[in-house]
Amino acid sequence: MMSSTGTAATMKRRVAGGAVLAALTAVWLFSAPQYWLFTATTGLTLGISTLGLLVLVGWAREVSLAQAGLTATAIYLCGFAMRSGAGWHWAYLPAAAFAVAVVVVLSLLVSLSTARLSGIYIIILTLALQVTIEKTFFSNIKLVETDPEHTIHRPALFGVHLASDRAYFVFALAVLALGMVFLARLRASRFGRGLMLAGTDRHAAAAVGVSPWRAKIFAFALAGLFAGLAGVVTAPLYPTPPSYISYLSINSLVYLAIPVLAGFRSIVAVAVVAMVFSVAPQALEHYHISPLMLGAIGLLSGTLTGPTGVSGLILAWLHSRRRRGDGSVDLRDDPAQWAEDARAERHVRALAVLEEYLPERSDAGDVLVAKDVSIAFGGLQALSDVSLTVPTRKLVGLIGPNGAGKSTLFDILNGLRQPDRGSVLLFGHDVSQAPPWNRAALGLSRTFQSSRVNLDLTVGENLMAGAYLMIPGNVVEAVAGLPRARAGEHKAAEAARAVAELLDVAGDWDEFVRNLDFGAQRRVEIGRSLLSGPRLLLLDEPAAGLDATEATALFALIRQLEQDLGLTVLLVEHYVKAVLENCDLIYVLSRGRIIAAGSAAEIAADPEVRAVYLGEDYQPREEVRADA
Amino acid sequence: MLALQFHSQLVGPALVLGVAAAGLYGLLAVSLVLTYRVSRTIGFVHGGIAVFAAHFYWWLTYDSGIRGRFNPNAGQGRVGQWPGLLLVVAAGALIGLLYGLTVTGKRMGNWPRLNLTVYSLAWLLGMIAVTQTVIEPQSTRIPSIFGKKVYRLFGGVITIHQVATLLILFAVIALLAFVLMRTQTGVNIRAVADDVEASRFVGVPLTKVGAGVYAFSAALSAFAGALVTATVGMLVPELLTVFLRALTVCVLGGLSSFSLALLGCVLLGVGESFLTAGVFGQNSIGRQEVILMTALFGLVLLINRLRPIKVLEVETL
Repeated sequence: MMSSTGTAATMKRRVAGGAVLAALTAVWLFSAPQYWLFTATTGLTLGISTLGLLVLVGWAREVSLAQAGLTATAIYLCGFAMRSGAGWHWAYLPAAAFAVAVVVVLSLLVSLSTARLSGIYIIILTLALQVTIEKTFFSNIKLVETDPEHTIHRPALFGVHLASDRAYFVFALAVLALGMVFLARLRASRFGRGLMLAGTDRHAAAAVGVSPWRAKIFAFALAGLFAGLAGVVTAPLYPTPPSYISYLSINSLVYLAIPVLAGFRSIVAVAVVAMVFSVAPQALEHYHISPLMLGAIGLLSGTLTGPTGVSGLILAWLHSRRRRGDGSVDLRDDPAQWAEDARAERHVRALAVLEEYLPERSDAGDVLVAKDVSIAFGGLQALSDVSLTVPTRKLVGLIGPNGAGKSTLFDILNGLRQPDRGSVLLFGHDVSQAPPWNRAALGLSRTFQSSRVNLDLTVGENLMAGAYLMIPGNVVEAVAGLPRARAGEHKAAEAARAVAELLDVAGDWDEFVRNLDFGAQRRVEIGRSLLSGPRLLLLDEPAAGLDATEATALFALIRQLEQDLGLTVLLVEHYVKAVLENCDLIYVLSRGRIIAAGSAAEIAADPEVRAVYLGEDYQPREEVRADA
Repeated sequence: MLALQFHSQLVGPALVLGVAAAGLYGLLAVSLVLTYRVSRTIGFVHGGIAVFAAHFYWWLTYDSGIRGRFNPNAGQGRVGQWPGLLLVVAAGALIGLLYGLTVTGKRMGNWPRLNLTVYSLAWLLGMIAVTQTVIEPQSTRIPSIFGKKVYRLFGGVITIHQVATLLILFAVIALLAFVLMRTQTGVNIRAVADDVEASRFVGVPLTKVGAGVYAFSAALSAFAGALVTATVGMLVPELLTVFLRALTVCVLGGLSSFSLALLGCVLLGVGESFLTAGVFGQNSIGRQEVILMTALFGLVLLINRLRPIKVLEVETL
């Protein structure tokens, strides 16, 4: 865990770095020739546009090939609205608002298809949008005409006239800086984390209450917003509209290369790479390095380095250096610090924090009732009239041979699949047709058979991603850090630390999940589910991949969550001994049918269960609890 | 407002022109479908190969070069059109082979589809960048290798270039049908298309099959790139538009079906021809594009609406 002194030192370093950068920029600003000021301003506008792509490609993991076209659309519309003659002669701000609105709407049009399409289909749709923009806006002579008698004048904003290249550079820099701050605040909020989770894994996002579709729409809206902003900053930069040659589909690939090369972890890296892409072809003119060539190199390097890009490599290197230099990381190995009694004490404190964090649990009744659930895949009847009841504050097990339909049943209970027949009641509500995120809002969370954590995020970031539903406030509140959202963030962070403590990953809080062993990754996933504030937790083979000691400890914790926090748990597990030892009620599923239900002793004695799953020679052990 | 008229007298000629135009899209579509079948990714690299091929073909056969052994027309190119075409196709196959070896190799073979798609986009951009740096783009149209002869059919005029392109497309499809259905190579390709992991376990040489498919399909793309210089010229945006059209029909055909892709080629060619000829009244280029793209959006969504989706699809970059 990073110490508070470490955080303060990092902050100090950042402030000092920012101050040096600002000073250098100021010196350069008053000494740079006009040509370079202009070139750098185009770099800033490219940076603004590609910040939108960072959200779309880096966070939401959708590739857009329309960003150049959208940026150009805003340029031409804003310019046309401002121009006299054939134009509308509007003031800058209304013209800019109009252009940004049109671009956001165009981007949203594509986003609507993300309900049913993703990946390569979205690439093609965005490419189609780009070509449509080329054929409509770029071929519209009124929009792209370069009439020297009706030029676009640079505006005055808040009493400051932006006529000079220097003033305009500062204006563009301010817009870029505001955009970066906005994105940094967004990324640190539940919306940013939800977006990244939806981008990495739609199922995992839906399970903790994030609607992947809404998240993607949001990402497209932001991509459109930043393309629009870049366009309206660019429009008055030129007296007449710039040539559309720089905004063709092939240029959209160059735009794409920037966040791919920079990586999704660093907002600053995107701005830096965008500046390099603008300045380098001019600075290295003699070497014939075109933006297209840079884009190709960027895309190749970006794909080879993975989603974290070049900035990820640098951050990972810094991270490893910090780990070597920070003694606190190995505290777990210090017997004095991590003595068993201190650990027990921390567990008690963590449970208290979690008790405070989780929503109120009911004391009586059934939290989940599935009735006559059936589903078939083609000719295969996966589930036939399955009925199952999960009483409140109980630990319920679901066992059965491979292919019995356990995970399919979980998918139906969770809402990832719709049953052909039957109903699912959750806390008294009929949720048979409800999507997973609505079920999560009612208090249902789940983990998956295969680990679904974001390997490129830290343990802390993964855990906090689960708290989406538990933090109040809208996007504005989250980004502005208004009290309600800030308090929610604080509470969730506290709970996340507590969960990390309970799951024995507190020492790895700042570690990338990629670097953890499989068992720890599974625990992080369970922790993320806990952070979503469940009243009913579905665990799909939580002990898979864990050794016997780890599995025993995990079951002890699950039991503790059920007993101390009143959490209801339904789990699928092949580790039969642990299920028989710990579960209050056990269902056995075989070939899509429930063949037995009861206590551990009843299940162990059931002849059909012994025949199809446990084996005829199975002997219930002494340690099987008598009351179970 | 969109024009809502119907000029029946234009249907015949527009139909003929549309079907004739479909041949060029078809060649690129076959390349895209072939590589999609073995990699489940869109081969954007084919767009780059087509652009490169168009420029290279121009440089070989039309740019003023020195008199060469195979160049009977001094000053009109470095080599004659037929040797030039062969060289272009060979170069395309070589590029495809190199690309295929990288994406089917051990390092990248298991990459997520979207990563491979972005990698393919990188090649597209790289090939265009290299081409534009080395060979200056020209707006010239190169005379067809098949001559200038034209035919009249149902009131429409089609060129020998279009007829030859269609015939070549049919020949390629016949060859592919034979190879895929009657040879061990075809069995291997179909096995990889069905299940890569299972193919690996039963001993299908994945890299060999994958690289071979990429080489063959890249040769086809290069061939299409060379032929397109006679109809749309050599401007990169125009060449990419042709590629996008081919991509469109592949999407319409579900990306893995040759027959549906070719049907899509005909539908798109005819639709484009109807709009250009003004069968539904005169519409600007922009409006024509909006109509075509709206139809594309609609069809893709309809196809996906009809396709049952049991769970949310997961893609990772």
